[in-house]
Amino acid sequence: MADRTRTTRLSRVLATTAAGALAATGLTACGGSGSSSNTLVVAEWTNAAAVQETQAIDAAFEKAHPGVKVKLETAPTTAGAWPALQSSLLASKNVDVLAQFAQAPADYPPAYTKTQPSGTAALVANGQFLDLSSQPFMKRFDLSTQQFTMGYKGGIYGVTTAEYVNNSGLFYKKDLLAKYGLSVPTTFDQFINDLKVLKSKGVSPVFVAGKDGYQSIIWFGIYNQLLMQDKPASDANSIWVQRDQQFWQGQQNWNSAVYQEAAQRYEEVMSYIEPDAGGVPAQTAPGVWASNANDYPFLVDGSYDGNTIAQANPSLQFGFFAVPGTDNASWNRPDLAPDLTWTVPKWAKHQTLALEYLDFFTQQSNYAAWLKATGSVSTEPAVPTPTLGWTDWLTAHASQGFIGTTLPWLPPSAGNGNPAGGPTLTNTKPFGSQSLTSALDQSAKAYTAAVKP
Amino acid sequence: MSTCPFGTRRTRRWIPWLSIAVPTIGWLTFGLYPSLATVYYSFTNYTGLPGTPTTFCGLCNYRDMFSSNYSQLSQAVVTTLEYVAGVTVLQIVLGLGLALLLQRRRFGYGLYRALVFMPQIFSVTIVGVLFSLLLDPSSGPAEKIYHSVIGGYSSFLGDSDLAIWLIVLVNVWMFTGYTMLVYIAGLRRVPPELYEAAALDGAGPIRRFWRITWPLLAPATTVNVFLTVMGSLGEYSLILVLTQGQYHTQTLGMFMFNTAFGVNPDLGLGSMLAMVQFVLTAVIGGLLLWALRRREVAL
Repeated sequence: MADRTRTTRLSRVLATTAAGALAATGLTACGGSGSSSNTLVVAEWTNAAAVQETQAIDAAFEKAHPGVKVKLETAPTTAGAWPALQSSLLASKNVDVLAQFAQAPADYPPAYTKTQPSGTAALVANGQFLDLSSQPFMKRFDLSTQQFTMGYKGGIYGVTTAEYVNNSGLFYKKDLLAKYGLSVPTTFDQFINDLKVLKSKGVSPVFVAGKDGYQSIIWFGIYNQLLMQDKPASDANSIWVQRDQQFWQGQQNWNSAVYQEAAQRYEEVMSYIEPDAGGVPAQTAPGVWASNANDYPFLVDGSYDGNTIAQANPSLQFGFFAVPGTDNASWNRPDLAPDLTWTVPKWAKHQTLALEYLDFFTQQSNYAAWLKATGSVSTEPAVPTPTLGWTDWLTAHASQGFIGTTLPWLPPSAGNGNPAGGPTLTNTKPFGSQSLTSALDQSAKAYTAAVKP
Repeated sequence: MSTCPFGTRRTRRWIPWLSIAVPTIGWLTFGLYPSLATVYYSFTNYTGLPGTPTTFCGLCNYRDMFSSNYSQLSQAVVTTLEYVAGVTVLQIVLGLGLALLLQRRRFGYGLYRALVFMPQIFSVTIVGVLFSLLLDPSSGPAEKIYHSVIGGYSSFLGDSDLAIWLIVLVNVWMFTGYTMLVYIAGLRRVPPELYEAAALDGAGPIRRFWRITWPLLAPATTVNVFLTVMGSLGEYSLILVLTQGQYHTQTLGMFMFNTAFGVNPDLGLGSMLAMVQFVLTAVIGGLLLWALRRREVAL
């Protein structure tokens, strides 16, 4: 009898434990801190300065909205961490304000290509984001820029708050150039001459984070300048669309003359980079460059790293300019890259709060502080681009910049990393053994094969 | 009267079924369903992005991969095989060598065994970050040592000829301890009388190793080779942290990850690559088991 009582009790304990475990699992699956009724989930990729300032804005938002918590999710863009976080948030539908990289009209291929948009453009085209065009805070922004970056069929599906010079970006050390009697070059010939002089003095002229492919900043910078020449910046989009059409119709390809010329210039610049550039990661490059005050006069990097450099070595006198990729100074304009764009998913649990958050974020005082922290070009006409120690050239020349190119339309069957999308620079000299010219031929063949009916 | 350890007559009927049901449900949910879904998705244009339409497209992903993406696929297969070969050979040789050195039950040997095994318990991310910092040519110690010893410069993980082999070394550093433990277990099953008899017959240490130790370690070698090959065939996490598949380090697993979860995710094409990987793993695994079992019998 005692045995029977004990075993019955044991079975009850087992059954209760199993039921408890199942219930707990169920509750965990339904719950999560992000879905709590007063928690706004915001996600953006890691940029130390941007994240820090966003946290400050989040704290102010919480203070202004008692009872509301803002949960900021971040992940670095390297090692696939940001796409992984984004996929997870999208799949679980557990985010209210989601950062996206700005798009361009060319990201929506025309119907005759039978190619569907991919990535962020696919989310926009499939109605996954709220149309923000009628939101009062959008009046603070230059609507033509917003339409360019997140416009689709009359709606605006995000608010672009950051714009940097990525492709074509170069930092330089003022003291080092002055020491060798050099000035900031304005043409390609001058640039190469500076590099030659520096090399002859035993200085390693250019520092580049080759492990993460930052050499592409020079490649895209030069060929965009060659494609744009002296055309007005406002023509940029039509030029890229025209280029994409010509690619699709076989009138242009990766081995066309303009890319051959860009390749020649790119290889010339690459012959002056540090010998072990292929192993240098982007994460440490700005700090290493800043701390080596007597070497590496130039750093290939986007303007988003300006404040990181300043923090790494506050006494360093440095500036920023666009690579002079052509022989005509007026063509050597900065290639602007609209960057962080806030979106509100259509299925966000706290849409009203998310819109209030964007309104709060874009208020002049908050936005100005955020721009100062990140070094971004302003997209709100009433808020000037901050003047920082290194932004003198940028302040003077940003207005002449053009919004950079996208890659030619490719059918989804081409997959990620297909050479049809352009040469893989890590395989080309000096990082690999292949010449860029031969990589361009390979890309041209791959492109033709990918788009053939 | 016999008593059941799990309750009354009534409960003892369903307790065994419950015991089977829980792992079965787990396997159906987290094992079979994802596998079947992967097969299905490999025949679709599924992107994984919410709201985007998914349509059945038959063999489209297979056709595209074996036509316009064939060079990438074949390169990924070659890289995978190089990686598997490198890891297996080095891990087996080092694991066996360390087992022979550290098998003794003497004071201090346990500490060395623990030190060799320790990297196994680190997460891949920690190991990846550690080696990224060590091998950073601009600020890591490896470049200084390389420069002072060899005199030149190396990009290490940014060198197309070197990167995959460095990842092989990192993998071997992480998992050799496990191989060593399996070999130590095997070595301790070898009867010591065999060595004594061989020594009396005049066999030296090398002859004793090849005639006694190596044949009797055949079951341990089978386990080690099989586990190492299977583990490294699907490797992507270490590569993701160290190079993201750049500089000729894109194995099949990495290619699948980049395709399925990259900036422009394509889970249809990624699932198709998972199927290729499944076939490759099944073929190699089957052949390997067959060969290793035959070898065991022969020895």
